Amino acid sequence: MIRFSGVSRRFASTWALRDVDWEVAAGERVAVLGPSGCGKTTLLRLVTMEIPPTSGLVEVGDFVSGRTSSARRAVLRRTLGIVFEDVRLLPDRSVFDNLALALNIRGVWDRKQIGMRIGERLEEVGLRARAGAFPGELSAGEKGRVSVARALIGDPLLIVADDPARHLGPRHATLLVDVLKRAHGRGATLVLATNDEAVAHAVGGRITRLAEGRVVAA
Amino acid sequence: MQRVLYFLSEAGRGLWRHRSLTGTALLALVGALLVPAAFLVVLVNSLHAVHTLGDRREMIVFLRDGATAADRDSLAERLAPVSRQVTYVSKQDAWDEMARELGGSELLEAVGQNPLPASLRVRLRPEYLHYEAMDSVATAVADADAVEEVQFGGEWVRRLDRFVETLRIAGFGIAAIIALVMIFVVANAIRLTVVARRELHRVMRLLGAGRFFLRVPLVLEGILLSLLAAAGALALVYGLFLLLEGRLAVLPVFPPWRWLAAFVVAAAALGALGSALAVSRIGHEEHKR
Repeated sequence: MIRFSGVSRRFASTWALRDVDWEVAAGERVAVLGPSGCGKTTLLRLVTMEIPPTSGLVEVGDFVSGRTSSARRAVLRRTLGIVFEDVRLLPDRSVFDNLALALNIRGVWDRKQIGMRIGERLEEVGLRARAGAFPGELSAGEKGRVSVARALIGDPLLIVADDPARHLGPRHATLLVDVLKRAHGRGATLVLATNDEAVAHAVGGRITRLAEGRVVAA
Repeated sequence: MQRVLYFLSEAGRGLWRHRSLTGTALLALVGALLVPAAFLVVLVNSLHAVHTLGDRREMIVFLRDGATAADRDSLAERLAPVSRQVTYVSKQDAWDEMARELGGSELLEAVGQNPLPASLRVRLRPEYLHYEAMDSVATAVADADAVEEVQFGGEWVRRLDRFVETLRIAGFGIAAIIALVMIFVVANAIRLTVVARRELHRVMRLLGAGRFFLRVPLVLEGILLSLLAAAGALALVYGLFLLLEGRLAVLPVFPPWRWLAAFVVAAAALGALGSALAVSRIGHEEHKR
């Protein structure tokens, strides 16, 4: 499903990733583990095609870096569930509307269906009662859980989660990893980046270790 | 339907969220649209005046003294395709009319014999009420043996035609300038909105939003902005019209609703064009190098 072939990525004069060869098969569960600044977020941003590689090739399904138009990238992203490191909820709309937007973008407009799916996902992350709240009224942990609910709302084929447990205590971190594992159980491939050894092990799949922009254990 | 409601609510939300920008753009657009809205009132009243005057454009075919009833009928028949009404004025009718206009019969009695010719007064169809057409009809009729002379106030008709033509050219000129101003104002307002929403669009793109999804609310914003501005400009002009009504004899009519609707639709179309230009780059994601 994902293949990195000799991928390097540089920001100004700093190499975030160097010569990475890495693969994730469809249906796999992978934790990308490494300390802060080792290139985890860059790796995930390459998977979502938010940024192109400086050199090498990134393939996600049929989508190939450098050969995918912006319109095709939009198609790719509608099959992904992305949990952003910095959450990125839209501040001017409620939790419900943030999740509804993700469904609207995927072409789901039926209000009954939207209400039902949002209810299920918020229930899963324990925030059903907070549907009407605005991001500014949520704690950092709650925002993170809403971000996970949004990523899962469209039943994605591939979940790309960048440190989703970062702002959470152990109880909620376990809950979120369980939610992501359940989504994996429904058929999604899961790639989760973390700097927490316990979380990586809780994912329960393969662990890819990154250090200084290089894959040290695939 | 849900999709349309979503796009409309997003457009409304955008206008409200950036209300100071919306207010500034609205003021600029109302200011720009006041000119064509006022011109619309002037144009409608000018056309109304021209129409009234045009109705009075008449062609008089003077007949020779020896012209028979058959000659007259033949002429009337030739004029039928181009005329709405042909009225025969006999020598006696012309004499009576002149006596009435001069207010007494003493002068006319002094003349003795009736020197006035009989005539046909021709009211032409509207499509013939311009100089070229009237001149060609007059030339054609003047050839007939029974015709002494044809008069239709050529110079006056020519001036009226020139006035209407000037009005039309001025209308197009003003419309073109205002159209450019509108496109410029709307495009810049929407462009500023795009800049203000860069982060929002970035998130939406990462969630999979395509160009259509990102652009439609912004184009609708441009249209809504223009509709509001057009309505505002017309309301102001109408208020002014009510204030002046009865005081200025030259502005007796306000444009009919069809003209007003056309004005609003044209403004909306220009708003759509301006905002479409402003958003044409959205969705061509900047792929950071």
